[in-house]
Order: sequence, then structure tokens, then C-alpha cells
Amino acid sequence: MSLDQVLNTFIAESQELLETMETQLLALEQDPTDKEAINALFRAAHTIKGSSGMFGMDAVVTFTHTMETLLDRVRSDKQSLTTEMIAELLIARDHIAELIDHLAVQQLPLDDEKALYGAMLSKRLQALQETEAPEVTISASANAPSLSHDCIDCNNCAQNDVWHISLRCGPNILRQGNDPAAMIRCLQTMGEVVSVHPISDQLPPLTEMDPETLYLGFEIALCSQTEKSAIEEVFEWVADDCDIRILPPNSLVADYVSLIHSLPEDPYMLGEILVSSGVLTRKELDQALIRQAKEQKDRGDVSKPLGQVLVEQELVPPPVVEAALERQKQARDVKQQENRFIRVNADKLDTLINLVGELVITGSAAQLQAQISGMSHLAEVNAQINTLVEEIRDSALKLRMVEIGETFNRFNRVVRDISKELGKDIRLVLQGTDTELDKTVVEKIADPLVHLVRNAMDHGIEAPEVRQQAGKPLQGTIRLNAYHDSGNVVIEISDDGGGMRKERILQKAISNGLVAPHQTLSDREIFALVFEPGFSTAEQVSNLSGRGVGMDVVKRNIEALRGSVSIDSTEGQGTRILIRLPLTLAIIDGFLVKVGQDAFVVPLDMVVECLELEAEQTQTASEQQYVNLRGEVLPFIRLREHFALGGQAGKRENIVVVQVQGQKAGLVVDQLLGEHQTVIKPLGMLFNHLKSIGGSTILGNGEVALILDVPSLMSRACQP
Amino acid sequence: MKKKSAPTGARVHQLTPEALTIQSVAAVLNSWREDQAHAESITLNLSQVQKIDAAGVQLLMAFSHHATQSGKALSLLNPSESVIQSLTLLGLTHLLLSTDGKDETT
Repeated sequence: MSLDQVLNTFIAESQELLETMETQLLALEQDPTDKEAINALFRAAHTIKGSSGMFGMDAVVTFTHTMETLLDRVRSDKQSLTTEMIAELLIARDHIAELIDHLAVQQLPLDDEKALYGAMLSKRLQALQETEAPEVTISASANAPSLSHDCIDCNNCAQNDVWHISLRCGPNILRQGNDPAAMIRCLQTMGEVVSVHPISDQLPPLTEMDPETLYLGFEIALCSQTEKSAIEEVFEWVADDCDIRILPPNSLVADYVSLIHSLPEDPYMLGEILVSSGVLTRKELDQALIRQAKEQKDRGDVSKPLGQVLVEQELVPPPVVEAALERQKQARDVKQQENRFIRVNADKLDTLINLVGELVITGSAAQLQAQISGMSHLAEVNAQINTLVEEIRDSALKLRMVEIGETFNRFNRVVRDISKELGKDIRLVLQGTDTELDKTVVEKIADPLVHLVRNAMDHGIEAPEVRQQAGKPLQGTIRLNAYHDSGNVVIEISDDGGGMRKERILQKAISNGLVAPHQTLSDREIFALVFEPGFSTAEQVSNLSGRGVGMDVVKRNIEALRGSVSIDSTEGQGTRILIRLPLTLAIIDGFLVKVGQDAFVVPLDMVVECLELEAEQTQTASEQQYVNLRGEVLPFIRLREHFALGGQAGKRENIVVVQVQGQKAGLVVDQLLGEHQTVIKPLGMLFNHLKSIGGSTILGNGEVALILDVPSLMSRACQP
Repeated sequence: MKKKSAPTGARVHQLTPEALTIQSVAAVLNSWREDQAHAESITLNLSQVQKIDAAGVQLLMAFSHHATQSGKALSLLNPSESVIQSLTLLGLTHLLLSTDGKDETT
């Protein structure tokens, strides 16, 4: 791994950690006593500090240290978290993000402005610390020449902070230059070594002893508020040769049990629970796992549960394991697996998906050939291969799928900051955060979403006084919702604000020359006008608008993703913006049809049914352009006419009934060829203006088929 | 390391080690073994000990055990500051208390 790669990993990791910090801070704003969130926050700060130190980013280290110190005080209950602190910490987090961006991403030297700003923020963070200097006490106890058994700096710690450490060193530890006495001395720097009991059972008579072999063991009681891993670090060098048990005192077991119960809903493996609750460190967990695997191998019997192994090794008291098991069961019920991620370069995924795409095409070709050959065995094997290819395709595509929640969560901060800026009280409600869609789509939709949410907050939600007059709750609500709908993902941004004024928009559009004065437009068409370039009503100018992304850019971005956007609004009640996006950009299940010699693909998700267009129906239909579908009016278009393909329709015509957004229409074609997996190849620049074609694909026999853009065809069919 | 026999009375084995560390414990023990058969008591003059580690502490414990088991007397004379600190740290203050700190031979 080159330094560049390491740096990239560092950047990616710190960005993730910074995101975690933001999420936790916002969560803490709701519930400042959330221990788990405080711990997560502290860990994130600690990790950033550690890794930025490795790259010599002293500015980040120093600054993060101040933050960490404050967080540590909160974590160890020395002071409680206030709203003011959360606000400062959010600003501090932003500063760290800026620093990392500046130093690591752009690799620029630190400028005075940033340094000064950082120093000012540091001062503010320090000021938030309630006056007391914890570091002084630590150094005092470290230098203390004589030991008294009264705990000087932690009179308040009673029995609660007394750790019990059992040290049984290997016989050769002294010869290797290690000295247990020095380790115990090192423990003194972490708190107060309350008592040490040397265990001399193994000590042989003086006449027989080898003075260079260590026979002694030690039982140590340490009064400290430190973390278990910190204690373990002291013994890090000898851990391989020694048996070291670090146990919190009995009185704490109950606390750990309750902590396990109070863990958030995230699932953890049993071990992870114990590690995260501090009863067990990762090293002990690893050892237990190795032991478990080894025993299983030795005996070949039914595997012993990890919990039992841990109890047998006296690493965890039984009640803790029971509580952890209970948690684990709950976690399994929720069926969410976290913490098991592999970081993969997106390019690798793209290559894989490209290959899978080719495989799908070739698979289709093979199946076609098998059918033509009429060899039933070959066809059968091919069918199996195709099933497998389908599964591979699905799982390959799933690799790219991410939950939209990650993107949605960012809006907590956006809404919080903007509502403060605007002086409006606005709450954000997130729904459908577990809806998955393609990573590329998620990345590209984030910016348009930010713009729409800003707009909703700025122009949608009214000022508190106006809301009061209108009899609405003072707190405005912005809703972000995501759900699947017939092969699409729908993202909904709604607000309970003032809604859009149709007349005003129409007036503006007429004065801009976008609409002819006497043109009649449906509500939806009027609202769609705001997506036109250069469209802006007078009200829509504020410091929040004009950030370079106008509504027209929003629309263009969404359309670039093969999506569509529409607005629904009721004056006085609010606005709802619907963004429809395809699940993925790469492959669709298609329905292959033929008109004359030309093949077309209809996205299968939109196909409802296929009917034969009867002769007598055709007669009425060609005049009125609709058929009677079991008593329902079904408008249709003939693809032959629409694409001006020429030629004569066959004796039998078929009608493919498609449905988009609850609206049905028919497409009249000559032949139905059936389902077909399709790798979408975008049309070249030359064909960008084509309205009813969404892309192209290559069939197994090498023919090109065009993929129909059903929604735009529908709007043609439904026009009077 | 200085080694001398007590001038009067019963044969006393006295050691005056300068360090009780992993580097020196073998030498200290060997010198004790050389004439331990003749000694009726063990006296360790610890006034010169500048450095003591776990090996040294262990050796002191072994001496203490030996004395208890064989009924011989153990004297730890004039323990230096570092000896006191280490024994205190490792919970072995009783080794110091079992003897008085005064050097009776001088």
C-alpha cells in the first residue's frame, strides 16, 4: 500500500467518522443523556486524532484533543452535556472536516486564518470545561514518591472504580527483559493501585529456585476511571506470554447488564456486545474465539457456545453473558447486520457489473441458440445457467445498492442549521430510510434533494406568526419519504407550508413568455413551470436561494438519472414534490415486442397484461384511439404510427397494457416475444432529443432493440 | 558485591548486594549457596541497593520463605528507598516489618 492509498483510506475513514459525529451530536440534541452516543462521539474524535497524528497533521491533533478532553469529561460524568456544548461541538466538527479537507484532500499548508479560527474554537471548547484540571492530578499521582492506600484523587470513586487485575506471567518474562514491577508502576499513572497481592504458591525452596525465572503472580486492585483497553495496553508487550484477566469489580456487573439492555437497536454479535460494553476487550474475544475453534477441532463435538467458553475462562461473569445473549437474540430478530463492511473500490464493482451485463447478453444468445437447435437437454442446461446468471446479476446489482437513510440523515443537520438561520421552528420527519437504491443514484440525488429541502424550508414553511394566524402548529414539518413503486424508487419531499400560488406562477410564466396568455394548463403543468430555466417569482429571492443550483438544474439532474419530478401543491396546506428514479441504471427486465422487423423493449415492471386487439375493436378504436378493457377506457397508441415505421400491420395485432403512476395505456405491436433481460446502453448524444426512447440494447442474435420510454409515450397516448 | 561473615557469635551469612535485578540475582543467590550450609541466619544488607526489580523482590520473598521454613532468622538491614518503594508497591511491606531496620552488626 502506497502512502497515497493510506491517505485516501484515512480521508474516507475520517469522513465517515465525521458523519458519525454529526449524527450522534444531533441525536444528543434530542437526548443529551444518551451514553452510547457520547461514547460513539468520543471514539470518533479519538480515532481521528490518532490517525491524523500518523500523517503529521498537528493542527487536527491539537484541535481534536481539545474536543476529546471535553467529551471525556462528559463521558466520565464529570460534567453534563448542554445544548450550548452540542452547538459548539457541531461547529468544531465542521472545523475538523475543513482542516482534513484542506490538509489531506487538497494537501495545502495550514494558513493563518484557519489556525486562528481553530485556536478561537479551541478556546471556546476549553471555556466550556468546568474548571478543574484533571491532568494535574494524574501527574501528581504519577510522581507521588510514597504510596498511601487512600485514594487521593478519587475519594468519590468508592469501590465502584476498582478494577481487578490478575497477572500470571510466563516463567521467562524476566529473562526477556520485562519487569512486572514496572508494569504495576505504570498502572499507578492511571489511577491508584489500591492493593497488590503477590501469589507465591509456585515459589520453590531457595535451594532449588532459578532466580531468573518468575514464579510469582500478582492480584492487583486498581482504582481508576480509565478504560479497560488502556489497562490492557500496559501489558501489551507481555500479553502473549502472560495470562492477564482484567475484571471490573462485582458491583459493576449489574451496571454492565443494564448497559447491555440499554444498548440501541443496532445488532451486535455476542462478543461485540461484550466488547462495546467494556466487559471484554477485543483481544480476549479473539482469544476466546480461537479457543472455541480449537476445542471444536480437538473434540469434534457440538460447538460450545462462545458465552460458555468465556465464562469458563472466567473472562466474563455469567449474568453479563446472559444479558448479552438476550440482546443478541433481539438483534437477530431485527435482522440488521452492521459492522461487516468491506471497502471496495467503486471501479471494481463497475467492472463486475459490466461483465455481468455481457454475461446476461451472451446468456440470452445461448438460450436462443438452444431453442433454435431443438435439443431439449441443451435447452434445459441453458435454462439452469440462465437462472444462475439471473441470480448473479441480482446479487451483483445489490452490491451497489445502498440504503437511502444515509443520505436522508444528512438532512437532519441541514434542517437544523437552516431553521436556525431562518428563525423558523422546523422538524424533519424521515420515512422509508431502509429503501435501497443504486449508489450512483444516491450520490447524484443528494444535491437536488438539498436544494428542494432548502426551498421547502425557505419558501414553503411560513414564518411562525403566519402559521399561527393560519391556525397551524407553530412547528413546521418537512417530510422525506422513500418507497418502491413498480420498479422505481419514489422520493417524496413534502412540507406543511403555504403551498404554491398557481396564479402567481402562471402570471410570471406569461410575462416571461413561457406560456401563451390564453393557454389552458392543468395544475400539474403549472407547477412544472417552476422547473423552467430562468423561472423565479419575486418571492423566491433570498440568501438561501441562488446557490448555483436552480430548479431547472434540479430537474436536469433528475432526468439525467432517467427519473422524473412532479409537484403537487395545495395553497395554504403545503407542497409535495415527487421524484421517481429507476432502481438501477444498468440492467432492466424487459418485455420484447416486435413491430414489423423492429424490436422494442418495454420495461417489464410497467407491463400489466397483453391482449389481442380484436378486429371489431380495432374498428372503433382507430377512430377514438381507445379500447374497452373490461369496461375501462384504455387509451392506446400504435407504435407503427408513432415511430412512422411504415409497412402493413399483420393480421393479428397485440396490445400491451402498461401502467405508470396508476394510469394505464396500451401500446399496439405486431408480435409479443416475451420476457428478456436487457442491459441498457445509453443512446448517443445524437439521439438525445428523442422523446419516446430511453436507450438501446443488443439482443442475443446481435440485433439492436430500442428500449421504450413508457412514461413519455403515455403522456402522448393520454393527450386528448 | 561485598561479602563478609559476622565477626562474633553464630555464623551469620550476610550479603550486601548493590542491585537486586535480573542481572544480579543469580550472583547473589550463588554466593548465598556457597556457604549457606554453615549459616544459621541470613542477613541482607540492603542499604546499597539502588535498583530492584521483580526478580529481586522474588528473591527476597524466597529468602523469607526459606527462613520461615528452616527456622533461621532473616534480617533485611537498612533497606534503601528504592527497596522500600518496590516492596510497598508489590504489597510486601510485611517483609520489612518482620525485621527491624537497624543494622545490629555495626
